[in-house]
Amino acid sequence: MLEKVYEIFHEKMKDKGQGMGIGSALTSEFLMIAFLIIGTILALRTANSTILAFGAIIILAAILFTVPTVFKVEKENNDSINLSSFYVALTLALLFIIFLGGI
Amino acid sequence: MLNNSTLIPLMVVLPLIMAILVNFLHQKDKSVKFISIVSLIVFVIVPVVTLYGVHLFSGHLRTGSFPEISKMLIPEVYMGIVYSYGTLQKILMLVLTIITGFSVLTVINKKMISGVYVAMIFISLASTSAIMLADDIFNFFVFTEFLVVAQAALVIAVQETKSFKAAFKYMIFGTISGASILLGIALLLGSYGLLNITDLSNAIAAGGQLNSIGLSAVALLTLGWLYESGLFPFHIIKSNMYENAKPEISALLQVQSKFVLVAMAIILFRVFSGYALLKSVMLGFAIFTVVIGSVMALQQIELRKLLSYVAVSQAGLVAVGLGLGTSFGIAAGIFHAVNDVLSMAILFFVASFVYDKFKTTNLDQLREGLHIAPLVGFVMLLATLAISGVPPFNSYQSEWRLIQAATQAGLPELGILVILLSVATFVAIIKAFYMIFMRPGPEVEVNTEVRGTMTKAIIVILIIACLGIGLFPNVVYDPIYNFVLSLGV
Repeated sequence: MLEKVYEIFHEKMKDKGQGMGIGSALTSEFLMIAFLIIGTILALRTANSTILAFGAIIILAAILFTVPTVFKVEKENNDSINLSSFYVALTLALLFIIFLGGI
Repeated sequence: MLNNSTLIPLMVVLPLIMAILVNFLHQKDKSVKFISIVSLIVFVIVPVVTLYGVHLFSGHLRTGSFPEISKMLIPEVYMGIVYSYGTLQKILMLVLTIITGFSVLTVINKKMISGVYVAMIFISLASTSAIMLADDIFNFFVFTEFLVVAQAALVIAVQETKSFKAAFKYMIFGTISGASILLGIALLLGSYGLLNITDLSNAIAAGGQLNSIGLSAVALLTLGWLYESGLFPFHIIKSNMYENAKPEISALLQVQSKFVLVAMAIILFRVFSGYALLKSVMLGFAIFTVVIGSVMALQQIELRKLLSYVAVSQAGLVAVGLGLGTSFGIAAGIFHAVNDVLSMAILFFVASFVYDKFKTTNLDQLREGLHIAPLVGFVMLLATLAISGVPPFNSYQSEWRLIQAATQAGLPELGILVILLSVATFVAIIKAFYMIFMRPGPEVEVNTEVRGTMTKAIIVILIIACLGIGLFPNVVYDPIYNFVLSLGV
C-alpha cells in the first residue's frame, strides 16, 4: 500500500501542477500522519499504558489503510454551507457533551 | 491605583466619529484622503499617550469580592461599562493601529479611496479596540457584532461573486455565533446579575463549582470564541473571508481576528478562572485548527488562498499557547499573536503587490518575478523565514517559548507538533515564493504602471519590526508576561 502512495499522489495532483505540488501534498500527508500519531499519544497516555498501546495500534492500522488522507481532509474542508453547518452543529453538541458531561 | 483616564474611550470613540465623517464625505476623495491620513496619525498617537488605568462610563459600584452573590438567586444588577487599559492593550492597540494605517495608506495609494470603504475600516478598528478594552461582557458582545458586519462589508466591497458568497456565509455563521454568545451572556446575567467581567469573575469564584447553567454558558461562549477567532469548525469561513478580501484588507482582517482571539480568551479565562476543562477544550480545537490549516495551506496553488490557510493555522498556534493555560503558555501565545500578525501582514502586502503587478495570484501563472521585483521577493523570503520561526526573527522567539511552555506543562509532544507545523508553514510559503519569483519559464504579463512604492516601504518597515522584536524580544514579551501574571489565571 505505502509504496503506491507516490503514484496515488501523482494521479490526484495532475490538476494541481507537478513537482512542487506533489512535494507539498506529500509534506501535508506526513504532517497528517504525525498529527494522528502524536495526537493519539497526547490524548491516551494520560489514561493508561494498555489503552495507549491499543489506541496506537488502531491508529497505525487506520493510517495504513487510509493513506493518502490529505485528499479526504481537503474534501471535507470545502466551503459548502451544508458541510460547515454540520460541523458547527457537531461542535456545539460536542461542547455541551464535554462541559455538561464533564468528560 | 485606578486612574479614571479620559483618553481610554477615545480609542473607540474617535474611529467611530471619523467613520461617520468620512461616510458623509463619500465621493469627495480629497477630503476623505486628508481626514483618513490625519485620523490614522491620531489613532496611533492616542494609545501611546494614554495613561494605564480604568475608565468608568458611569458610577460603577464595586470590584471587590462578592461572597454574598453566591447566596442570592437574583442579585441587584450593576450597570455601567468599564474600559481597562494596561500594557497588553497598549501593545495590541499599537500594532492594530499601525497595520490599519498601512492598509488605509495602501488603499489610498491604489486610488481605491471611498468614504464608505474607509468608514468600514474605521468601524472595524473601533470594534476591535473596544473588544480589547471592554471589561463589560455585553459591551464586548455588541462590538463583536459591529466587527462582523464591518468585516463582511469590506469583503463585499470587492464586488465579485466569490466575495459576496464569502461575506454571506460569514454573516450566516455570525448570526449563529452571535446568538450563542448572547445566550451565554444571558445565562450568566440570569445567574449572577452581573455584566462586569471583574465582578462576574469574583462572583463565580465565590460561588464555587459551576452549575449546569454556568456550564451551558461556557459551552455557548466557547462556540462564539471559535467563530470570532476563526478556529475549527469556522476556519473555512474565515479563510474564505481572507481570500476574497483585497489582500491589503486581509492583512488587517487577520490582525483583528487574532487580537479578538486573545481578548476573548482572556475574558473566558478571567470569568471561568477555576475551570480547567475550558483550557483543555481550547487546546484541542487549537491543535486541530493548526494541523488542518497547515494541511490545507500546503495544497493550495493560489497565493491568497494559501496565505489565508496559513493565517488560520497560525491563529491556531496562538490558541495553543492560550490553551496550555499556564502563565508562560498564555504569555507565549499572546507574544506569538503579536509576532505572527506582523509576518502575516508582510505576506498579505506582498500578495497585494503581486496581484497588482501581475494581475493574478494564481501560482501556476507566475514565474521569474525576481527580475521584476527583487526587493519584494527578498522581503517575502525574509517574511517566510520569520513566520516559520527561523532565528533571528520574531516568531522564533515566540515559537521557542511555546515549545518551552508545552514541555513545562507536561506536553512535550505538543512541542514536536509545533516544530512540524513550522516546517509545514515554511514548505507552503517557500513553494509560493519559488513559483512567483524563481521558477524559470516564459515571461509573464506585467502591469508596468504599478510601481508599488508604498507597498515596498510598508513591507520593509514591517520586516525591520520583525527583526527588531526577534533581536530584542523582551521589549514586547516582558510587559505581556507581567500582564498575564497580574491576571492570575
